[in-house]
Amino acid sequence: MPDFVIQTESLTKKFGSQAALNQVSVSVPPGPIGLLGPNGAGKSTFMKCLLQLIPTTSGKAHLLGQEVGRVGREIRTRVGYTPEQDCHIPGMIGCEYVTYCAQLSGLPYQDARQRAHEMLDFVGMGQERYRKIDTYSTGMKQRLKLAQAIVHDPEIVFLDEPTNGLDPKGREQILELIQSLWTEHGISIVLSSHLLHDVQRICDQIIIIALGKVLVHDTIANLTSQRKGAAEVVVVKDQERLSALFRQQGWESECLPNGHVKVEHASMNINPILKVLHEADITPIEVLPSPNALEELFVQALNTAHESVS
Amino acid sequence: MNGIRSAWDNKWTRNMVLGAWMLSIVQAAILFGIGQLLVEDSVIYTLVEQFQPQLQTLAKGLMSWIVAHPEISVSSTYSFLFYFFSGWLKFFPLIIIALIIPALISRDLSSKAIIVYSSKAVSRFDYFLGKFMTVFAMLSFAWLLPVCSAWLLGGLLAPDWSFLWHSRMALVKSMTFIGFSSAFLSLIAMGVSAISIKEKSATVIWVVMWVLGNVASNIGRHTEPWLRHLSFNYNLEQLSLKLFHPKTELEQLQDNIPVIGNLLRGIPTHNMPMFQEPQFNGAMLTCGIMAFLAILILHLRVKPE
Repeated sequence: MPDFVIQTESLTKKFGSQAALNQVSVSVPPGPIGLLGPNGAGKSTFMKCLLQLIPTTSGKAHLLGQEVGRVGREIRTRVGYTPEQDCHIPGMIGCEYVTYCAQLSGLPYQDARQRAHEMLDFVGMGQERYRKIDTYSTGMKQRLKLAQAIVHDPEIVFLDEPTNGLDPKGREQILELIQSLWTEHGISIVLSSHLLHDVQRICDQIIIIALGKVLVHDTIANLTSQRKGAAEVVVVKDQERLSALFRQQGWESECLPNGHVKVEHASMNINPILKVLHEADITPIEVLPSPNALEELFVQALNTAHESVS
Repeated sequence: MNGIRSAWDNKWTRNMVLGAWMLSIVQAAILFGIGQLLVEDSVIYTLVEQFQPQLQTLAKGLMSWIVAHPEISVSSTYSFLFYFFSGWLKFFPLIIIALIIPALISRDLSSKAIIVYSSKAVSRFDYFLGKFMTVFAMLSFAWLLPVCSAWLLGGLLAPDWSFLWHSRMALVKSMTFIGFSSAFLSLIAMGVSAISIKEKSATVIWVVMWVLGNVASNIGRHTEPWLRHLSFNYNLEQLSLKLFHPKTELEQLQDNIPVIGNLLRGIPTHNMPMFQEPQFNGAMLTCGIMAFLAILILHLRVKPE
């Protein structure tokens, strides 16, 4: 495995005069990577450029150490992809479809069939694998998409909004599967999503893209540590009083609509907050350190991007 | 293989292939009958024995000539037969294309399966080649293989296996005609299938092209000759005429068969399209333009985005 699974240098993709990707330069080490951004930010375009599904306008990109655009077939045997939309071949049976996808990736039929069943077991599909795909629920289709993406044992898998249309339970199950790709199988993940929770749950590092530019690229640990001074205190009563006490300490504080008291303090831990609570004889139900750090960072990055454009 | 299996799953496609094979059996039976003209104790001889003396003389004269000149009689007869059967059998592939065309590329475009293909270790060329081979294989099942089988069966059932040798040119011409036609029709079918993402539209476009082409061809026969080339059927017919050249074969029979040759001279060849000079260059040029348009459509329409 190369040091960087993805490397881009001034990667640009234009649709007419509109730049979907504008001079994107990143170097991404192996692991689970979250690709965050609002709708139309350029996340899918970034993935498709790397997968050579669309041609780039300018710049260079390397995927798994190989230059994108020079070696198509070889890269694709090492890469998996689950597109955002349904893309099954109608009329096919689930296990046949995954077998066929494995064959398309270069596996001989017998190996492909065996791998297909293994992957269908892995994604938790039972007898329904022998049914036509057209009869599958959204959850089953998402599982099938995941199975086809990893059936040829890729080194990196691109997942474009893999939890779209799933109920909370189904979403959790899919996220667990995705997480295990890296933790158990060592497959790097590029998870594109606009759902911060999904990314935070799975990924070690994130890339925030907006307006075709990379705004942030860092590990989640680093990013959240920068905002350790924020917390939310959950109390049954005395919210206004508590907020006032925090403000007396010189910290910014406000009561949120959900009844929590938000506070931003200077310390790297929550001890000062606990001290204030103790002195005021207020018993908290819960103290959530930096609960929305990623979200705040995301919004902040977007605002910065919009300001720089305007 | 997946595409062929998918096409084969359609009951009507299977029926069309079966229909083509039935016709090839008829062809083999006719070839068997021709072969029996050379066998003295065959049913045909028994039948001839019951003819009037004049007819008996005529029939026996013909048989003697066949025995004496197999290189002309077998070759010309087979050539005529293969010209007709290759043409008649074309009906089945055209119907088969109408049946399989929705699943060819339209379905991949409408279901977005094209994205999956593009993300695998499959180049665009591989994808197109796979689709091309699917149609070509189906057309071969229903066209090339029945004709080749009829030739083989006819030769094996003939009293003398030299029939296989004397009829070789008929087979080569058939294979050339059917091979070219199948490749051309496969390409056109792919282009038509890529026009629309609605599966039913692909079938409608194909049938409309087929019917309107034939209408234009008939109009062109009496008005502007170039209109005839709008029909791919007409263009392929010109190729068939160029290869089999029934006019030359007829002239050879007229000049060489005793007695019957004179009767054949009475055929009003000037009224029959099959005895006209083929418009080969125009047909090939139009086929080239049609193929180019199909490739252009494929290039523009079949993309992951």
